[in-house]
Amino acid sequence: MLLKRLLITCLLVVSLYLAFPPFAYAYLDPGTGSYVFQLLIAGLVGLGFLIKVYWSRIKLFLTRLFSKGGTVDGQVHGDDEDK
Amino acid sequence: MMPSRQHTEIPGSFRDPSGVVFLQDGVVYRQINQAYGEEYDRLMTSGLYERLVQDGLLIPHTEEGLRHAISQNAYQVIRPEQVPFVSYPYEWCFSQIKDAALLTLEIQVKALDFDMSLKDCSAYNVQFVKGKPVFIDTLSFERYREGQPWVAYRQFCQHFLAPLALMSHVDVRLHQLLRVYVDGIPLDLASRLLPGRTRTNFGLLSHVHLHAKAQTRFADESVSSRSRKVRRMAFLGLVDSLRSAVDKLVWKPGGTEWHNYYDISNYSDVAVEHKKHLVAQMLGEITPTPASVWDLGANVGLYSRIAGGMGIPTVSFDIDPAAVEKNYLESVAQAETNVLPLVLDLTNPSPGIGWENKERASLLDRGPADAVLALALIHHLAISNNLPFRKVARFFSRVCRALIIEFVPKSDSQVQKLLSSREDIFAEYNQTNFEAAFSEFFTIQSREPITDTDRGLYLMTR
Repeated sequence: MLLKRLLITCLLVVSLYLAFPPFAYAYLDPGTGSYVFQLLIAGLVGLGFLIKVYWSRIKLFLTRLFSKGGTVDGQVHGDDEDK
Repeated sequence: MMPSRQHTEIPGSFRDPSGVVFLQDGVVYRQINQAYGEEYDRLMTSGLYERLVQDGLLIPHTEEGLRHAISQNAYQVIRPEQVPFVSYPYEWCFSQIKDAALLTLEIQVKALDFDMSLKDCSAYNVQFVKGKPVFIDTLSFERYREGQPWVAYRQFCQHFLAPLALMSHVDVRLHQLLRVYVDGIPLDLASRLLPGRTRTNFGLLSHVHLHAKAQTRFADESVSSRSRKVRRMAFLGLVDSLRSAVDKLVWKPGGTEWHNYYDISNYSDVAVEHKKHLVAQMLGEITPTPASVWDLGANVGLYSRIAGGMGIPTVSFDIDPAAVEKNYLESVAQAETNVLPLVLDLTNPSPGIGWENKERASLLDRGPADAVLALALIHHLAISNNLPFRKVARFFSRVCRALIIEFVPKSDSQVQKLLSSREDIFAEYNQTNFEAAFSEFFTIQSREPITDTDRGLYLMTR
């Protein structure tokens, strides 16, 4: 679990560093860095937030999907109850 | 409209052109300038003001009209509920800063529900009133336009997240950096001070470390901005991510000098009870009844609660952030409304800081208090800090009208402890000299010995 988190974090570091191309148009105040960074990070955490908000729906969708045609403990379950 | 009666502008509000805070006949008012009129009306008519006040998040106010206006460009003058004592983030303990941070984010989320947003996120916009943090800057709200980024993002990170991260991961005393950096701790500094392991924490990695890197990288570059948008869901995600980062930061008091003082002090239960009784009695003798009490060297606030219990707004100062943390958590747990615990080094009290040294007031400028409690304090000032009685007495005469002070003689085991590690150069330290020095500035009204100790309690008035 920790390793997974670490990997995700490292990946994030790399992806964010790569995501800083040198733009060059209008001049901004000293908060420029914060502004640019916010655009990047808000997109990322916004996606996470979207998943969080809709997680119960996603879970329900996956559960239904899984219980209809999936397998549990290696056994094929029928869908008689749904009929 | 004619500008009205005499007033004093309160330094600290001048950065915001939306309005001005001023003092008139001892009452704090806030003038809303015409330039902010539309936004103010939006706050008031959208339902946001009502909702925030109902939830205890925003200071309530009444509209006073233009009779109190201090300039021609006034749109409205409001009288906010008065804050008994204005405190600053470098005087707050860890949980106070954390609660103030969470309050600010909660307000931002609620504001978005009403299509409004916070245009700044200064920690100075929060004050502790009746035991709870409350947002005091009624003019911080602006209309939210779909796609606009959060202009206060950097300020939130500098004023709240960076100090909390440093207090939690490095040393709780680092909130003192806020006294040096009036607009919050620079993120590059916070990033350098934080241990490497904080880079595995998503919130700190992104909002402090990478944020600091981005600031450096783009410091003198130009960027294209207009086409870039932050969608509402991303905005909410950003606020939620900050909330989560703040929520995860913890600090447990322990390992400091005073937080277990009452376990290691030389008081018997009988002495503590008698001292409590005497403090209550002397507070009751002060006429008129004090409207404010400062308990200096309050530790975890045992005696502050006596004054607080009498309905007197009491500021409970101590140098030890652990004691103040315990004091605050106790005040929250008991839902107390009259005790405000704060961190303060009495030998180096908060100075005036910011523009012209006036933006944030010094401790002395926020006084005097009607009464001061100085219990089990004199030996620390006179012996640990080599302060002559006369200087101590003069200081107290500047911060209060009535003083309840405990004299701790050399024979006391706590004083003996202090003397065990230093040469006794304190020949003047005795009760006679104590009384003589304080009599220069105060009239001694009563003196009572504390049962089961060599100590005595004095009530003095100016």
